Amino acid sequence: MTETTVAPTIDLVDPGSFRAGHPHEMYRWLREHDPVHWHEEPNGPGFWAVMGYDDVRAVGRDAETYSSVPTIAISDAEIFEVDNHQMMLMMDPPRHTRYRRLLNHRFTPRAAGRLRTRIEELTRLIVDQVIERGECDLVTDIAGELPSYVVAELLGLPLDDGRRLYELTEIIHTAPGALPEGAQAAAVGEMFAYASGVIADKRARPSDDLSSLLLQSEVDGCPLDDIDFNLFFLLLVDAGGDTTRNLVAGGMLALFDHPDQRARLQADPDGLLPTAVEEMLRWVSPVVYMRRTALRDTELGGRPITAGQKVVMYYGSADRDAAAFADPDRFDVARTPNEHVAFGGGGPHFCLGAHVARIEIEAMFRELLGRLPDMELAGPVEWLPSNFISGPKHVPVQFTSGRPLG
Amino acid sequence: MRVSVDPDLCESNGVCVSIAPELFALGDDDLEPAQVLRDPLPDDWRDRAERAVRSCPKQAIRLE
Repeated sequence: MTETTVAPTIDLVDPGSFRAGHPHEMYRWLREHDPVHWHEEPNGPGFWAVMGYDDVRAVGRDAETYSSVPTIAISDAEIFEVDNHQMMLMMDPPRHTRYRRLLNHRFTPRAAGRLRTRIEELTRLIVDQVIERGECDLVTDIAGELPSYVVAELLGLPLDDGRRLYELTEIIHTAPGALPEGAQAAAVGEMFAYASGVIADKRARPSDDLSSLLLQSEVDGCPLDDIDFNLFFLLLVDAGGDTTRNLVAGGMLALFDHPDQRARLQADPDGLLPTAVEEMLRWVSPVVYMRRTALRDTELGGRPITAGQKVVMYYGSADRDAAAFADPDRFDVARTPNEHVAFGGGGPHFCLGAHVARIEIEAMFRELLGRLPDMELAGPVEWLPSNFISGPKHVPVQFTSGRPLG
Repeated sequence: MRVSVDPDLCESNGVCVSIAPELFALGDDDLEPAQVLRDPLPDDWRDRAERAVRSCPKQAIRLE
């Protein structure tokens, strides 16, 4: 482990801190010196930044102490509520359990496995679209295409609509100030208008997709209303979108940076892809943080937490904790065990789409390593300026061109 | 040593199945809770079982 002696400037709120990916120097210093760190907040009361693996898991798994209400964003300004309805992400049990149960059975390993063939077709299609060009942007042309197609498939929408919905989530996630005033509200409006069209369409012609399932669902004996549906719709499009994209693009960057590991994986994809996917998840940890709010006075890592205070779990830091991972800064495509917290530390909000994501990532890398085996960087990497979602925004790549499989 | 899954808590996330496929399985029906395949638990499987207990998102697995 590298011993950091001089304290770096700690700022986990400034999006600039994330402009080259996770600020691992800050993370490491905090884990070693102040693992439950009181962090000031420019326009708020401040929060506890939880950096260590065991503490992150303890918070994530204790919804009775650490609540997801009113929001999982650090800033209370990001409380997202429509007419007294909330997203499942911002609910606590038992209400959360009643909503999650509507969809959970469609995301089990077995249910996810039924999507594998279709996901593999989509990854072939995505590579077909770029293979003749010999160059592309790994993020927008490859990594971003996959989740937008898969989400469209799950919700029963045309693939091209999935792409537009995905663009809308990008706008919704962009740091305020980087876009013209009102652009984000307009994007939410367009998303909800689209969802309303889906409601009409799926009520008239129900099918086997998640949209139809939700529209036929009841919570406590009452059918989901249109606002509930819209919030579910936004959550599914959003949660399955940039996370998967960043994992694919960030995972490929990790392979570029570790040619020995890439050669090893390319020599034995069948044997190593499953562990390589987990290692990419640990390494990239696309979700930077989730916030909870303490419901009672408690203690964490020796620090006193007061009821009402914000407690923020930093997954990218927990996933490099030497107390949980041997040689944590080594990227090892065969690492095992690898109980990373990229999907959350366990608890009621454990990533619903984890199994679908694993299938997507594995299928995409199988396709990329097999058909574009000499892909390499062709220009500077640009990162998302976000303190919430970590990943590259643009990754220009080049490769020997080939023929589409059709 | 015995392992059990609380059917009311289990929501078939399948984390235990990925950690210890020889010990846990999910049923044919997506709504069915995880099943324990070995009861009682062989002594040398205890580590795996404990990892599954720790990793279950719903804390639905008990070891006693």
